[in-house]
Amino acid sequence: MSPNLARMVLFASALTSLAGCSEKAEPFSRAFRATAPDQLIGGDVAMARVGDFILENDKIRVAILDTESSPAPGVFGGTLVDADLQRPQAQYRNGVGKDQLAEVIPVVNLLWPRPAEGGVTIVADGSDGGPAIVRVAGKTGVFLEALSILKSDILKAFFPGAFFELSIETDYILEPGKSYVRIKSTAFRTDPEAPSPVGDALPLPSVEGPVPIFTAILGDADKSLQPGIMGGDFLFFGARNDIFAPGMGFDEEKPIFDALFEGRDTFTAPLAFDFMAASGGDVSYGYFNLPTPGGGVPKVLVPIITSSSTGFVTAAKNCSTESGDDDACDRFAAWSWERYFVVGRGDIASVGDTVYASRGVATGTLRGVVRGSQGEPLANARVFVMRDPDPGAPMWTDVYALAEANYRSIGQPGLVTQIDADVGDDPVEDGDFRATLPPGDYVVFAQNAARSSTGPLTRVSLVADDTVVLAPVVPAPGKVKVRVTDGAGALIDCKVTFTPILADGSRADGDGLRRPWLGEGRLGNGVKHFAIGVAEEITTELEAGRYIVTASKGPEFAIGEREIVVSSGRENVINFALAHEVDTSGWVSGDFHLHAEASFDSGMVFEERVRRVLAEGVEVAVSTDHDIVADYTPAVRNLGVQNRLTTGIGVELSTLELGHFIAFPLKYDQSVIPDHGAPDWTCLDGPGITSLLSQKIADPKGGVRIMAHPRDGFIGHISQIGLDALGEARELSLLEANNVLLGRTTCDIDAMEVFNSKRFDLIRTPTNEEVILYNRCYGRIDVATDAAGLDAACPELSPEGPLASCPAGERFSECKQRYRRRLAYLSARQILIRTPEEQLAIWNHLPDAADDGRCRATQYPGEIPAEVRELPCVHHPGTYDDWMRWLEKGLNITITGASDSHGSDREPGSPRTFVRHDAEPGHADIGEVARAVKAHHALPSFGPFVRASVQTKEAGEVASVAGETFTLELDVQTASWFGVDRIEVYVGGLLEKVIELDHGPEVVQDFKGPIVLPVPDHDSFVSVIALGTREDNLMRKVLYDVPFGELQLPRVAALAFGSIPAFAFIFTPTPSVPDFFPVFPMAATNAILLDTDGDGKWQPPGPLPSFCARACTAENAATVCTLEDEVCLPDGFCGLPIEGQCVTGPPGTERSLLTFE
Amino acid sequence: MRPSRVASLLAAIACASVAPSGHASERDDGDLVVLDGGMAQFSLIGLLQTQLVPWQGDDALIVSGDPADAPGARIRRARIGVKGWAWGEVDFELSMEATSSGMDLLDAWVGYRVLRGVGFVVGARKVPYSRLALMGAGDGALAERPLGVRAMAPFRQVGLTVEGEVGDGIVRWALGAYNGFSRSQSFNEGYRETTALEGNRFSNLAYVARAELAPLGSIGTGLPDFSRGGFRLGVGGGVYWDPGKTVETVGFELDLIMKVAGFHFVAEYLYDSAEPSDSPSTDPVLPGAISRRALSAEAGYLLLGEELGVTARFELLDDNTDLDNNGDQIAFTGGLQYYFHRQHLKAQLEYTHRAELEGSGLENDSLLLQVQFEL
Repeated sequence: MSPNLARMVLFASALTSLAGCSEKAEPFSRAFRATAPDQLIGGDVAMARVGDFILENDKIRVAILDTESSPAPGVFGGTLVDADLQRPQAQYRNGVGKDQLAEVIPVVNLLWPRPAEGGVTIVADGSDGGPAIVRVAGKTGVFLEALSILKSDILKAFFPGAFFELSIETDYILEPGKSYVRIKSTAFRTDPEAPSPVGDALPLPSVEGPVPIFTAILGDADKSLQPGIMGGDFLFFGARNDIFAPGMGFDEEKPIFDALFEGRDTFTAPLAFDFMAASGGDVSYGYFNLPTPGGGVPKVLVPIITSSSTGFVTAAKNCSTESGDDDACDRFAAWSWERYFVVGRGDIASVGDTVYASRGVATGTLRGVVRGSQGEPLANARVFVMRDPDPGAPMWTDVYALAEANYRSIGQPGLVTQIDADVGDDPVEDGDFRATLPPGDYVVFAQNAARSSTGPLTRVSLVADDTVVLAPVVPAPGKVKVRVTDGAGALIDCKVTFTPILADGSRADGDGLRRPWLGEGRLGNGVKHFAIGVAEEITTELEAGRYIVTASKGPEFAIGEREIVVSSGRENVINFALAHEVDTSGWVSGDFHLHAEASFDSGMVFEERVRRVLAEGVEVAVSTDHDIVADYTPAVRNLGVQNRLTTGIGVELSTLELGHFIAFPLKYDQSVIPDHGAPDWTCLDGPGITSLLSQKIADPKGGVRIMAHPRDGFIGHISQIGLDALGEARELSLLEANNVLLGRTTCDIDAMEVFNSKRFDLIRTPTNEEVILYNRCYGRIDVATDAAGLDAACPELSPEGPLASCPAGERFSECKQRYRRRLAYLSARQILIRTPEEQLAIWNHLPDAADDGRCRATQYPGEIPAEVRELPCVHHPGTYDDWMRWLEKGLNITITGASDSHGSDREPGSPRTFVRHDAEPGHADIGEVARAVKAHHALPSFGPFVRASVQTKEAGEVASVAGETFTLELDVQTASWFGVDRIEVYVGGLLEKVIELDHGPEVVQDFKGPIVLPVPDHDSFVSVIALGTREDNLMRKVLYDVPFGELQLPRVAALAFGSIPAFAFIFTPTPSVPDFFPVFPMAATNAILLDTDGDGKWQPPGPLPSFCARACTAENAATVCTLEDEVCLPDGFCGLPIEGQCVTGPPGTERSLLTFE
Repeated sequence: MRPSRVASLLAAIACASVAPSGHASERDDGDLVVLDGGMAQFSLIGLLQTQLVPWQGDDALIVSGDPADAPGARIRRARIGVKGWAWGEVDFELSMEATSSGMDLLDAWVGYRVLRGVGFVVGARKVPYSRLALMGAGDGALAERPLGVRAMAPFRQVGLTVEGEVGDGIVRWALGAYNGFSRSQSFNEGYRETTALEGNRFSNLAYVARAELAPLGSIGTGLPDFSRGGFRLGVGGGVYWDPGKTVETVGFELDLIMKVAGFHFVAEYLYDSAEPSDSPSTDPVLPGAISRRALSAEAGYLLLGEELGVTARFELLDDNTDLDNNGDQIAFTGGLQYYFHRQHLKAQLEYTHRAELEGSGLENDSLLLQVQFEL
């Protein structure tokens, strides 16, 4: 052999040896406590800190918190907060991972583990080759004070023997080679009657079908079942993931709202799925349980599900009241159950593979390649597998028809799984895919990575242990290039939407051709797709079809509309020029309530957040993530938009039961991970929170503190402190009656969101008649069984004819929803339109005991008595009405509007706050803006721009008026795509002037001129509402309608508790008001203060609203602390004498009323 | 074949040139800027093409192979680079092209020609498959290569080419192995070429081979017959095999070129077929192989010496032979060319008519004026 040849042989041998080294790592498992950041899981939303616990094996890594307060959505420690695949590649070493999980919190009988210090330990570190185990042990606690009712005497009286005194021990078990964490919990009785020793634990059987949650916990009504144990988890998958269940697909909203629309609460009839999963990136998650030995197919019950949080039940057991099962059931004082948390490779199929394999389900394999129209491998494509509703039928024309057939067959779209081609970090992006599935008949189709093209349907019949190879083809998408310029021809920031024109020539509405159940998300108004341009030419892809293209830039600019035909593989080019129509000189438009990736329920990356803010014409944006301080500055710099956008650093302090509070500008502390210096509200009451926020303001000249959505149930501060519509009495709800944090209150707040998100249901106090008519019509729609029943549902609100009509062949349940939507619009419009007579009746009404029943439809089945109609429905005090009440009592809080935008369906800037601040875009001073808001130089608005002045004095300023009348100068403008047709002018809370405008959206200057008003008899105020009510004036050309409204825990809870006979009389659901509607153009001015006595000051007669802190002494308590049940507290302020301790924080943070500072 | 002819051919092979890259050219391809260091020589190369589109149909778009999205002006190509040789056995080329996002690597290769008649070339370079693709972008008579060539030839890819010639260019051949090819989603966007720095994105390599025969002598590098010489003929063929892990693609090309007395004719046929590496086991409704084909034929004549030419081209395109849709097209292009400064400067005026044979028709005719400067 020549030397050269010898060297070549040696070289080849070396290469071969190296190749041999790349074999897979040996299975291992280990547990350890992180001592440095580079040992953590890592990822944009990772939460674990040094000192927390890491479990890892050759497949996955997870982090479990120590006992400190959870920085994730939960409140206690000891929970699983981060999870990722084991990623050996160099770029993922040293704590750089792709965690997308928020939190997994074990639940037993609605109680959460509340481990004390030392409660989290490593039981097995895996060094013996066996599983690694981290154990979390301790007492259980209520995460909401409202749940303290579970431990109340009243509950014990009705349900003796219910188990709410429990401790819990949870083992997180990770075996070598497994892609899941086995979570084994054991609950132990700790009540005085518990046997000692407790003895062995009874394994709880897996649930196999819907079990009423409260039956499982409290026993059944006819007393055949004793109170039992129900185990599961609260699982916050994280907003970057889309939640999936077999059958339901990715649309978690529709099933739960369908249930609610049908009057079914999901606590009594939980949704039941084979397993749950979530995907959205290079890692996916799953959750399942195993069958009980000898049992049937296990199910995961889902009593509550939203896009960000879900509650799961996997095991439950009630002993019989008969004695036959005493030894097998009743004797146990401890119970155990297991469930499995899967870490998948990024798609649902990889989770399904683990579920089926773990359960021993026979499967076949589906694999192949997704190809483009030119035969090329289509990288990162998606493959969807749907149930075949009728294998013998001809193939459906498209995926819509297939889903419809499944809806008619099983009430669900029938998506079985979703497979990613080139799943996860596959370095070779060649369109390959693979999944295992149970044997069956399926229909398969593929979609490209951008979701801009979907291929044809293919039938597949899968048998066990067999493999089917597929090579689906996805047509090339159409391309659209859009240039949007201003009047001068310069490219501008913009949003472009694409709304399909259907085969019958109509414009799509609702979900239109968008498929939320495929994970495409829900937009609304028929919009199929949207694209954002930041002063750039937009190039986007679309499925072939006819579309209306709409270009917009917020409410100050005109819009452009064009119809196009998009063809596969071809490109369209469109140009728009949008004029800046509304003169807002001297003002900037701001959105002071925005969420992004730092919020567990948003997940939108900062740059995308900034892009969307710009596209809506917002000039000042403040980051307000939940309990995390975030800074948009790097994103603004990366996009190069410093000259167009000013950003502020803020926070939304998101208490669980005291409402939410915003403050800015704050300091962003890079070194404090993960909250970057956010205030900790644990066991603080209202005064404590507002005081803490004041301390956190970073600008020495001051900032602003805003009460977010004050009347929004659990997350609204005013709702939670139980303040009545007059601003006088406080009546805590039964659930909150023992919440020590609600003893003291304060009105030391600078501003309140009178407009939050698209919550038109929270703005005005409705009349009894308005609420009764809505519920009456709603009830008729619910019980209608045919089209005639629907047509006759609501002559009261739609005297001209039926509310709606439905296309031929539409499912009746969908048809009903059309009627509900129309009803909601008409009813919401009616509530927003206030007549002087209604306002007079509402304003002068004095509460009485009969108020509670006056807006219940059941109270007046026939004609509503005239004396009741115009009185306020006390269940729904509106924020604007609150504000006017408080103003008249001398409390001047600035009203603001903010979008509270989390995702795509709530656009930033809708609503917004125009702030009087004369600065060019990008050059506003955030501190000055905050202080202008505090000084009431602000206009909350969904779009209209209003200038109002009295003697040149504007909002926040004092105008001295005398004589009989004074003149208000008013200027109302709207862009030419929406309009104001009604102006209401309030003086001292009374509606003194209504101006109805008979024009559509094309008019920009809706009103300009003087309005003569009466001078009130004391120092008072004037405020103006500008409103668009006509359908052609609505904002739906650009802003999405609200499709379902809010999934409100109180509503679900009221339905659930109401289903328990013993509680039905306590938890009577409040009559509802519409909470899904189109976006009305609406603006409300802050108050121009009226000085009527000539002293140049604004001094209303008072007294201040009762939630303002009132100093007292033991001596004057009787005269100062005059509210019902109120006393002078030891700290020298009036309050409710609620005893006990705050226990909704980790052990060690308990506080009682007497220790408040 | 008589023994004497065989002996002559063997003798010709034995006497093959060392440097096959130096094809004789009938146009003036003398380099304008040359640095000669004795052991090495560098030539500056560059190409600037500016297109003016005074009119085109409303449906004409760049991504569809048309010259513009709207009437106006466009820099079609702006390239700069160097090429040269060293030590008599190494040649190289390094060039960049302006794109909308900056500058992209275009050619980046080095050749080692140590054996007689054989060279090894490593780097990013046009793969030896299509005659018209291998021809320089500025060397055609018309402004653009045929639509089918732009869509179906892989153009520049990174890999190793072994090439050579025998008989003083009578026979040329090339073999190569390259990173797996990546097709764009739409026919007219062709293959992705900008992956040189990314390495192989696929699990397997693609293999290409080409052979050319010019029995009557070299026919030169460009299409127009500036030499106005006698009859010359070239035939060639290429084949590629891209055995991807998931999709296997094969293609072949056949071409014919003739020149005589200022007249040129060239025709090229391309066909390829992509099919899943694992045959689908269900549903014959889904296509197995997806096949495409394109035929072009072009004829031109120089009317005035080396200055004025006239050229016409016909094309037949089918982006999926199983489907009758508007991907089945014909295209006619006719134009005038005027050459300055021995072809370093060129002006071209041409009109293209495209017609969809099936499906919905498109308004995509265009009128194009191109001015080209080439170093």
